This record gives sequence, C-alpha cells and structure tokens, in this order.
Amino acid sequence: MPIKLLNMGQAHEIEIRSRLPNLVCAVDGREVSIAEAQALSRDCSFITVDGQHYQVWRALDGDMVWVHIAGRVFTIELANPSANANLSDETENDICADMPGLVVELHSSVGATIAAGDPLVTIESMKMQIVLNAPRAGVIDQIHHQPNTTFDKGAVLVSLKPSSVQS
Amino acid sequence: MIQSVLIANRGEIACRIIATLRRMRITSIAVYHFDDRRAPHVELADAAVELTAEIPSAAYLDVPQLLAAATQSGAQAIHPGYGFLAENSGFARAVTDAGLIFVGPSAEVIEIMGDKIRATDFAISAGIPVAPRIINDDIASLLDEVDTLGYPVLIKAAAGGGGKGMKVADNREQLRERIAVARSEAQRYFLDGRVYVERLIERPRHIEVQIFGDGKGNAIHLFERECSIQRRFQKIIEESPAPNLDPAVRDQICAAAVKLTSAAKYLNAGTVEFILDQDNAFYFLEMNTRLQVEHPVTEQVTGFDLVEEQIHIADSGLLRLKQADVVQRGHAIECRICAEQPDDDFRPATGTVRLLRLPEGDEIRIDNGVSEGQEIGAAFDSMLAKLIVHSPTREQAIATCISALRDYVLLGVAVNIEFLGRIVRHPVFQAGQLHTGFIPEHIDELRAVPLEQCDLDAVLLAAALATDSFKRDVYEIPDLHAAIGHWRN
Repeated sequence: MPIKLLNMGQAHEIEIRSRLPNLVCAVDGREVSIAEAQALSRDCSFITVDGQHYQVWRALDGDMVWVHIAGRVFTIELANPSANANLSDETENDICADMPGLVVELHSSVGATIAAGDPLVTIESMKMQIVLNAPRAGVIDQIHHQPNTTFDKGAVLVSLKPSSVQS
Repeated sequence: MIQSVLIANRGEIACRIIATLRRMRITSIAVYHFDDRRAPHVELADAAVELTAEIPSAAYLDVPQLLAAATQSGAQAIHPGYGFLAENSGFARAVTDAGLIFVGPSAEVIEIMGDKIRATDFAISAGIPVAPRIINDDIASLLDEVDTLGYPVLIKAAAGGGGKGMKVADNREQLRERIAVARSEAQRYFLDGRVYVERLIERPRHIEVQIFGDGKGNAIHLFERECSIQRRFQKIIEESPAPNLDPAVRDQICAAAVKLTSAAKYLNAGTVEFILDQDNAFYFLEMNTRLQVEHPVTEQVTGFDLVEEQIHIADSGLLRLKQADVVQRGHAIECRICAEQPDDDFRPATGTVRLLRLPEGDEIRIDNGVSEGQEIGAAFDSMLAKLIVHSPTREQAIATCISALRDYVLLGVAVNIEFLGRIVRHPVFQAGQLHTGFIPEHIDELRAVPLEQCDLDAVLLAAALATDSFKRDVYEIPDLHAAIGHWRN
C-alpha cells in the first residue's frame, strides 16, 4: 500500500517497487533505490538514496515525523494517520517488537508508573540496539521477556494496564 | 565566605550559574514552578525549592517566596541571572534588607540605569557621549525641537530597554502619531508613560563592553562584544572581538565604559552598551546592571569565568582581576538557539523536545537549558540554549560555528538553528560588515532555499521509514531475513 506524506502542504506518495536485492521505492512515481543502516541509537540512521549518503535524525510526534538531514529540519505529516497507529494510538497497551531479537535490558518493572516516552526496554535486533519507549503514560502491567531471552517478530514485550483501569 | 547561593532564575542561565557554583564547591539552590519540575536546572542544583504561582513566570518574580526559599534553605546570597528580577532595584534592596548578599550592583545604581533618561543624564555628567536627544513632555514644542534635530528619529520609552517600546518616525506627521502610541504602550508595559526622542543613527553597530567594579570607584573592562545581529531589536548572534573595529576606537569605547563604571561606583559585573556609527563616532546607549546573555563570548576570549568573578566580588567587595591580566585570545561567536520560526516573522514556537543531540568539540561550548521530553510552552522566553564557539581566528570560528549548527539536532519544536547557519554563511557577515539592520537588509537572501530532488527524496523516505507500517512493509518479506542471514551473530 502506498504511503502518503505531506511536506509543507505538498502531497507526496511512496510505494515499494522491489525489496531485493535492493529496496526500490517509487517516490511520486520516480524509482529510487534506497538502503538504510541504523546507528546504535534508534533515532539516528544512515540512508543511501541513489548512491547519495545521508545521516538522518528522526523523531515521531503524533502524525508528524521530524527529520533532520544535513543540518536542515523538515516536519513531514503522515497523510494517513493509521500508518503510524502503533505509536500515536493513545490507548495502545502492548509494546511489540518489529523484528526478532534479544532483550538486552529492562528499564522498568511491573507496577511502575511511567510517562510517555520513557524507555521501557532495550532490545538487540540485526546487530542494532534499539530502545523501545512508552507510547503513552501508564502503569506497567506485564513484562513478557526477561533480559537475555529472545523473541520473535511481533512479540509483545511489555504490556501497560489499560487506561480505563488506571482512572 | 559564601557557601550557598540561591539562583532566582531558570533555563540555561540557571544551569550555567550552577555549573560554576559546583566548581567553586558552593551549594546551589534552584527555585522552580511546578511546570518546570523536570527542567534541567532543578536536576542540576544541589537543592531545589518549589515556588507556587498560577502563572509559571510569576513564580520567578515572587519576591517574598524567593526570600523565604533563600532563608529556609540557608542560602547566603542570591544570584538573579538575567531577566526576571535581575534589574529590579526593589528586589536588590529586599535581598539586602533580608541580610542576604545580592550578587549584583546596589539598588541605587540599578534604579539610575533602569531609567533611560536618568542613565543618559548620568552618562553626560560623566563625560560620555550620548546620541542627540530631545526630552519634552509638550508635544508641540517637542515637534519643533525635533525639526532642528532632523529625521528619521527613534522614540524610546524612559523605562524601556532591550528594544521594548522603540519606534521609528521618518517625519513630523509620523512622529506625532507614533509618540502617542509609544506613550500609551510604555504606560501599559512599564507603568511609566515617559518617552523621549533620539536621532536615529543610520546603519549603526551595537558594541558593548563587559565591566567589573568594586563599588568604590575601581573598575576594569573585559573588552567589547559585537552584538549587531538582531531581530526585533533583540540580539541573536554576538561575537568578541568586534570585527573590523579600529583598535583606537576599541580603546576609546572600553575607556568610556570604565569611566562610567567608575563614576557610578558600580559594584559587580555589568555591561555598557554603545551605538557606533559609520564614521566611528560612538554614543552611550544603556547600562545593563547584570550578567548578559552573551557573556560567554567574553569568557571564551579572556579565559575568565564571569560568574566566579561575580561571586568573588559579592563576597569580598574586591576586584581580584587587574586590567593588565585581561587579554583577548582568539575569536568567539555565540548563537542564540530560540524556539521560533524565522521564515514566519520569527513567530515563537511551542512543542515538546523529542530529540536533542548537541554538537561536541574542543572549540564548542553549549549553555543548554532544555532536555528531551521537556515541553516548550509560551510561558517563558523563547531562548532555549546558546551555542558558543571559540577558535584562533574569526574565519575559523565561523567555520566551527557552521559545522556545529549543522550537527545541532533539536526536534519536536521549531527552532532558528538553520536560520543562524544562513547568517554565518552569508558573505557580508563573513566579511564582518555588520550593522543592526543586517537581518532586515538581507532577509531575502536569508530565506531557506528549496531542496534538490534527491535530497527531497531522502527526506520523504526517511520519514516513511520512521513509520511502523512502512517499516513493516519493507522488512516483512521473509526473503529479506534469508538474505541478511542469521540476524544475530
């Protein structure tokens, strides 16, 4: 499914054309090849677009993505908010893994009260360490994987108590 | 010996003062409003006292609560920072009356310098040049007098400062109209409707001098700062030394600043501001009776910690620095990082700091006042931090500044970092041909340029890859894992 983006009121569309051997996407119909290598921090990565290298810093902010590239900052709106449901949904209770991996460190414990954005768990996946942050404020209900245990893609790592229960 | 200091401030300046206190092994006591409970200054201080107020900024202006916090926490001195109560003579007096040390000048001097008419009168009596001005409450005779002065003129509020309440008039009609507006604005903002008219100096430079006095007439200077890069009459880039400044003129300006400091029997740190015209004539503008936002450029080129000197003077009443000890080494530039939108007339911006990565390096200093997750509201000043670079030459300092601004990552709230980068890359800035109208004069060249196609693609793809659904789409295909091999090795 193509993803729709807005940059300064201008609509753009990205669609995946092929994944192997290289990821090729159509940006507004033009085919470009891209590669992404994540740095240690989840917020920083290096992407290569048609042979050009960029260091990228990103931050999600509801339906908006802040992108810092070569000293410039862009705020890109996601035209279809559901694309980012996992992070923007206030009622989301489960923090899931996007990729298979290993739990490196837990930053919180069952029963702890956490604020939105608080680090919950550091995982290692594809040789990258990634910190998963709380999508909303709440209380930790369950921790499903202890440090040094592996998990599959899509596994629930941490569950928060439903919002209604807390109030 | 002062062993404990309460900082009646917040943000980067509170953090910066705490850093020096820590180095001096002096206990630091922060104050905060509930909204600031997670702010860095609260975390950095040895102790923190909450102040209550409906409006957050009112907490930092509440004299009885500040004094109570100081007394209860055992502070012997109060450092006011800048802004808030720093130039409030009533506060300085209340601190002293409570038996505490005010880290700053006497209430009397703050009072004189806080009134532009009294301050310029004082400068004239001390033999310091001031810009031709007219003070007359009668509008008809004022208009006649201004005819002899010549247009354009600047209308200033006696109680104003920092650019607040200033207006330009190009002719008699405009002056008549704007003086009425200026009066009512001054009455509203400063509860003092007195205004006066000054000849407008064309393409002026703003040059100021850092001074220290011992309150007994002894004074020294720590050289000048160039502060001509301003928007809305407020500085955003400052440097030291001032570029292309005739050394003889520099000496005269610094000497005038010392003369004024000495005549005022000024105590502690202060800044004497001057306007320099295109013919190298300079005029006293005002005196800021506190530590300035831009003091770090002076610290970098002189190697002295101004807060440490302030504490020392407040404690002993003695100036331990000798004029001969003060030399300028290298070149320092400061950029003020503000939450604002330069391409939208510098409108202040709000938001939450989602990501903060500060540039690092030997020649880079950052006086920061925000942390990740912190909400930037409209309650306080839009300045979040300051980037200061110090290199052997101005050319090198500019290069360091450009790369540091490029590496400065602050996401989640709109900031002026890119705009600052465009200024320091501008050939006229690089040539050091500065005046206070630099930004309006070059505003078209300072706008963001559109992205190259490939760069735009990179931005869009980076944004798409930040979303879970797109990432899932990209990485879902099982073949990918096969191609990558065993994911953990």
